[in-house]
Amino acid sequence: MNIKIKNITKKYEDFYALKNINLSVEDGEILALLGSSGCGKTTLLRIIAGLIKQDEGSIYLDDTDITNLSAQKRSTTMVFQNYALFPHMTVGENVAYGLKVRKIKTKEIKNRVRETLELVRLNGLENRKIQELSGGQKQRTALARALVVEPDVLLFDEPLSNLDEKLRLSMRQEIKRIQKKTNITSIYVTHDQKEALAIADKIAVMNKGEVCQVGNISEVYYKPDNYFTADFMGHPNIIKRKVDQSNANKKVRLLKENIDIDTEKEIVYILLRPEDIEIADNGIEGNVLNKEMIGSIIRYKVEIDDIIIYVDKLNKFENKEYNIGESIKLKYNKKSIHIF
Amino acid sequence: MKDEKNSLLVKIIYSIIFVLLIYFIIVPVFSVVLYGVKTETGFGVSLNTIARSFSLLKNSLYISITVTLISTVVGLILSITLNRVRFLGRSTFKVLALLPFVNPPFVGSISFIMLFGRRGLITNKFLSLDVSPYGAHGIIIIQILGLSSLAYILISSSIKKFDTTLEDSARNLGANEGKIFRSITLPLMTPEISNTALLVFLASMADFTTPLIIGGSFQTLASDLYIQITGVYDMKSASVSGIVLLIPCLIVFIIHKYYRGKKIYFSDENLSRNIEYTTISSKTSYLLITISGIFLFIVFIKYFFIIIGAFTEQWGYNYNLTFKHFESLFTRQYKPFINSIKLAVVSALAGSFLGILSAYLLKTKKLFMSKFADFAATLPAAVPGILFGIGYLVTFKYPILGIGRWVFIEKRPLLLLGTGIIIYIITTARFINTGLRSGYALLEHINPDLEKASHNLGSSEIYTFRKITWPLMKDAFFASYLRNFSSGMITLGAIIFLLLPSNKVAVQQIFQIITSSSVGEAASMALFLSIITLILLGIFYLLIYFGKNDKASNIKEIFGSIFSN
Repeated sequence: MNIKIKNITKKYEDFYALKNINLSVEDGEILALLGSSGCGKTTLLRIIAGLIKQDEGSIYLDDTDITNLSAQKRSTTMVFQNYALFPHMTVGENVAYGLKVRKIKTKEIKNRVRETLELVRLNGLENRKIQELSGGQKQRTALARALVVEPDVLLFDEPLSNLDEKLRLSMRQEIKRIQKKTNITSIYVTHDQKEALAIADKIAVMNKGEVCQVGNISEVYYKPDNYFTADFMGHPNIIKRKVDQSNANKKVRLLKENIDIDTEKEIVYILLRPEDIEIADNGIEGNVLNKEMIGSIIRYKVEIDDIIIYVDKLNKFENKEYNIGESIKLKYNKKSIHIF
Repeated sequence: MKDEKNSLLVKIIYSIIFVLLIYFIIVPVFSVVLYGVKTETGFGVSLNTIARSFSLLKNSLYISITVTLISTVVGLILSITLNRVRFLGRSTFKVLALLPFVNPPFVGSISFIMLFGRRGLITNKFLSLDVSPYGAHGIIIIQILGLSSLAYILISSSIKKFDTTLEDSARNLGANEGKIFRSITLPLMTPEISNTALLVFLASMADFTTPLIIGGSFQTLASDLYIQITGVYDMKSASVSGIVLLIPCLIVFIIHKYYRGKKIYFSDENLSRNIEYTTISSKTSYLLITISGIFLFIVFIKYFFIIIGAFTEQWGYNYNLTFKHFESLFTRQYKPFINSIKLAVVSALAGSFLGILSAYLLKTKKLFMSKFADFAATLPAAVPGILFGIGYLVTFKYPILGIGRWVFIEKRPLLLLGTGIIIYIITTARFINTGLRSGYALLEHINPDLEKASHNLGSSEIYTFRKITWPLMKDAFFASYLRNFSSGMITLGAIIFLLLPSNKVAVQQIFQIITSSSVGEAASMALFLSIITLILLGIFYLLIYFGKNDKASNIKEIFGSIFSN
């Protein structure tokens, strides 16, 4: 099922939690709503679930208007941030809850609960109490409970934020695997750009109740069209430049060179990703201000004239290491830069 | 992690507290039991006494179980309506729901007598009946009116911690509101509701005043204790009744203390969550508001007639407006009020301090027999006040805190009984429990490493307590103090046999006046007592929290959790 969100607005007194949001998710696709806390992403998710009522706008599921449907009647199940598992029920009872509510026959409930627990790899844990589960198991139970009712849309509200790093990495692969297998249209709220990139087909970057950019993951990562998105996607070299319009060919200055550009703007941002810069025998000269060893890469902080540039170098055995204070030469492919 | 090694100071303080707990709590309770079963030749109780006590027990249980069931349901409805449904006039409802809490339980009898008594407005004036309203039903009604307020406070404190995402989650899975309430909300609240029921039960069992005033020939174990001692001077029968009363109370208490806690589902993360229903149907909300409204209207009537009664010459005979009751109150009867305030302030301070200190020691240090100390400190919550008072009576009529009877056989004894100080001791002993609960509740939120950090930086134990622990525990102290102060103003059972004419308290005065049927005077005093209690609570509240808004909400949380613990 595809889902369309049209002109959704939500106000709390004078504060706009959401301002005129338009989004659509195709059948079987997974969309990540990415943004820092307070940007409205969870509010939007809850509006889609019907748990919060929007002030304006409408929501369509396969062209059916579900705007005025109560939460109970929408088939949009959610995996809650703190799981919201019913503490007085076992794993099996939690998963069966949605089916019981739908008055499905006991035998079928049993089968479907078993199948779903198998899908999330929790088979055999039906009779466990919630308190006895590990964080990862709770996460899987919450996922199973949402999946078992075969919803039209699956909603994830920062589902991995309570897990430790290692578990988070393996769970996000699990979620992706299960989502692809069941092919349920999904919306995934997160503040972690890596998680969004790893899980989603499409990302909507949100800031202050508005969508800054929507696109598939490579668009949002390689071709951000605004500063907030570029910065949020973790790009450290975003250089603000005034466009030189004195000649017929417009130019900006970057690292001691002039670059021709074609733009109407007076001010542009230049995105130069640290992994696209190389340290070479001849090139633009800079001075190493700092270096950070972050596992598989070494990140150099290099000063060139008035600007600071970060350069990532694979931390390979045979690579030469440069020290703070040393002078190095940099080069980059002009095609790798993105100007917006 | 608890500290393994304790300094000498900690050991000394703990030893003192431990001895105090044994002397002033364990020994008196044990004494009543011993007194009841001991005879000249050995141990035993006559069959007659037992049979008598058991028929009274039947009465007590009949009243208490009925009251518990109804009050708990009313309390539940009130707390859902007043916390989770948004409607106009909700704050007025809240005030009315809380009011009975600052009154002694029997105050409702004043308006009950005014309306349904022999010369009552409804029975006599309107219906011209000559019926006696005295009996079990009156007791039940009066207790429900008072104790539903307790149930409301207790359940409210847990409802505020309810994790509403669980309801959202059920809603999200397609459950309708009724199903959500039955399968999620109610089951999750069950532990707190049953705790509330147990506390209401204990309070109802311990109430001896209401049966005495409007029970007529229908008496309960607690009221019989009073009659046996003041009327018949039969300490022996009183002690037997006491034992029979103590048994169900102790059972309930032990269930409450050791069974609970295993099934608590509330998490601290949800304290600030909005718990109002967003999707409640208007039919349901009208129903809830109507039920709460009817109940609170009756509460309102209760206070309305107390006010009317306070300004009426002589109810049932002469309905002229008068200030004479207040005149006599301010000219001749004001001393008991001063005594009440003195008692409430001193014992609330002492009880809260000892309680918090005990909580701190028991939770953070590894100590000798700490489980027992915890049991001893909480025991007064289970023992009906009047029984506890009899314990003091039979213990401290002997010299040196009761132990002297074996030491100073020939010498002129140093008696605690008959001194003014004993009522302060017994009230303090009963209030330690509140401080302890409040301290425990707060300590759960304090990082135990804070103290270690302070030690690590080189500060001494006393300095750490003064500069780190105490400032953090202050809130628990104040919460406990406010709670104890309001109980102190209406405490009667524990002290009624220990009071001297010179330190008579207001509640006792009101109680005696009601039993002698002087409605107007009783009403004026009850009204005055409520007002000064509220004013003083307000003053304390302002003194403590003036200009500290964030603190106030913190306190309210702890205040709530004292009740539920």
